[in-house]
Amino acid sequence: MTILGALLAARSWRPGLLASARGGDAAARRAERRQILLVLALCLIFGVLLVGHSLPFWLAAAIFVSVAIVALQSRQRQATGQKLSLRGIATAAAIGLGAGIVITIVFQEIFLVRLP
Amino acid sequence: MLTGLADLGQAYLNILNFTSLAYGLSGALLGIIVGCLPGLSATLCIALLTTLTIKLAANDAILILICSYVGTLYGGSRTAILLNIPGTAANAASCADGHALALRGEAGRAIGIATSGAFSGTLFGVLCLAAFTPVLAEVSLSFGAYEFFWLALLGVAMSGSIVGNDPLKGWLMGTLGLFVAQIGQEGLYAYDRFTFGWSQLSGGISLIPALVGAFGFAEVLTTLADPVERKMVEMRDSVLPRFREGRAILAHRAAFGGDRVLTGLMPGVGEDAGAWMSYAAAKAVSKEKEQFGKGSIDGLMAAETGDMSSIPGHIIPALALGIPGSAPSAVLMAAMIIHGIQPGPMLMIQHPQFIYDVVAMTSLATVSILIFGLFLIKPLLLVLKIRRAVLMPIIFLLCTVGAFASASRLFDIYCMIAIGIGAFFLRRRGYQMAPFVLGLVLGGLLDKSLRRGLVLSDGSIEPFFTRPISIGFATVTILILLLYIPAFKALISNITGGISRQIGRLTSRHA
Repeated sequence: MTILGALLAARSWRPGLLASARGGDAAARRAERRQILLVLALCLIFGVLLVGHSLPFWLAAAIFVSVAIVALQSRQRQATGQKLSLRGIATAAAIGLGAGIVITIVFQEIFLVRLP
Repeated sequence: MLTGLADLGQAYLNILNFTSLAYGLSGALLGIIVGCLPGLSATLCIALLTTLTIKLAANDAILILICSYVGTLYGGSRTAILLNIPGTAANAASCADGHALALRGEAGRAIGIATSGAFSGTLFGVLCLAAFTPVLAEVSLSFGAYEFFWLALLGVAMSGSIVGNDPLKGWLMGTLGLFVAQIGQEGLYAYDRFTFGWSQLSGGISLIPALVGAFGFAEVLTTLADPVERKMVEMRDSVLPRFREGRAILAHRAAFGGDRVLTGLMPGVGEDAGAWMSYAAAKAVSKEKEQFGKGSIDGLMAAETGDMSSIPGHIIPALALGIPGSAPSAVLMAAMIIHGIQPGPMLMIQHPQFIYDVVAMTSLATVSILIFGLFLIKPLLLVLKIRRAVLMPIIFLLCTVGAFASASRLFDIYCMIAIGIGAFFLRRRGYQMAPFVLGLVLGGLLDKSLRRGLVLSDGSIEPFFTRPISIGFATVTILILLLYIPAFKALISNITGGISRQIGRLTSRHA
């Protein structure tokens, strides 16, 4: 791994490499970075903090899915200058609750798989 | 010969009951739905279904997994045709011609061609699976630790060379996979390696969480990082292929079927490579080369038959040698092990019927995709209308369940997240995950074979280079690595060029 890594580094090196890597559409890159950070934060909060720490799985799943849908959709709406309606939030909550309950029933009760 | 045919007949009779047919059809349908959804791969589908089917009987579980494997790769062609996004990496070759046909108002026709191409491709692969697996399993009985060491190394070297555009990055990912496979208690004397005193790492990095992270969570991140949500092309025409197209499909199968299954036999060369090689071969012999990429029927057909016929090709080495041909077949192999069936040379002795059962299962999967593909088109297209902001959080939820379910360890969820984040950033920099997975799967075999070989030879490396099969594998592996050194490549080109010129002169003198 060290040898291959060193070969890659040697092959990639050229003067002004870092400056050229920073080029491109800065606004688009910033928006993409924000989107990635949001998704990472949501997934890490669910996977590390919510799951397996005394909260029932169906409830943790419902909270995660609802919040993730609301957060992702409001970012999409923001880009088009719209706001997420109350109806949209209620639909997200219903989908989250439905997903949490259905996944719990299917895995735990029908296929007898243990859930965190 | 006759015993083999009797076993094959028995295998077909075994799946002709309501429960097996229901499992097979639902597995294929679920696979098609997953394949339709951009960003969800066959590997993820099989990994998640492995955890869901963990309590089922071995044959029922493997039936569901094989049907979903075939279904996912087939389903990916829908998104390639209608959205110009390959549902799975294997369908990338179908994008250009399939979407061009859809834009011309011939989406139904394109789906029909993809369906019949996929059906004939898988069927041809199934015949090869039935014919070659028992033979290869018999041959592999003569392999020892030395041969398995080279075979595992060959898998990682070949996977690194062929997948992606950069062999250096491929080999780096392969060696990273080999390294991760060494974490935890080692197999011969059970002492900890690379655990740094952390007891959770003693059990090693399990394959299912690693795969779910590399192919599931990373896909979720990749899909959600893309700011554009693409619009689907409407389908108005019929999907039933015309007579001339059916004849062309059969002709294509006859011409290129064998080499696509052979592509599948190469370790680590995924279904996407099978599709691209088939596409390139069809373009090379086509009379309408300029149509390729602009809505060519031959191009679409070649791409679809290529990726589908390599599926049985990937299953053959997984069953006979215990060396998976691709990432999805690696998960399939892991699922077999979880269900108490150890693929490899001993399979023909311990479970001789199982190879034929797999042939029957793949046949059922083939028929399933034809049925769903031709007669359940419109309802399946509804899946494509689900918004990714709704779908992806649910997929991540399933990834969490999938990572946890096999061993009920929270640590596996953390591994899945860590590997997923790493895979996401690595993929953005052009590092492919297939060599990593091959390294992870083959790491244990490589390590055990090397050390067993050294124990048997009393520390001497001589048998690794002197046994007849070993020397063959060693030569191929070393050649693959050396061919990427420009000076060596130029030398080989000079030698082969000189030989072909000499042959040319000799034949012209005789003429």
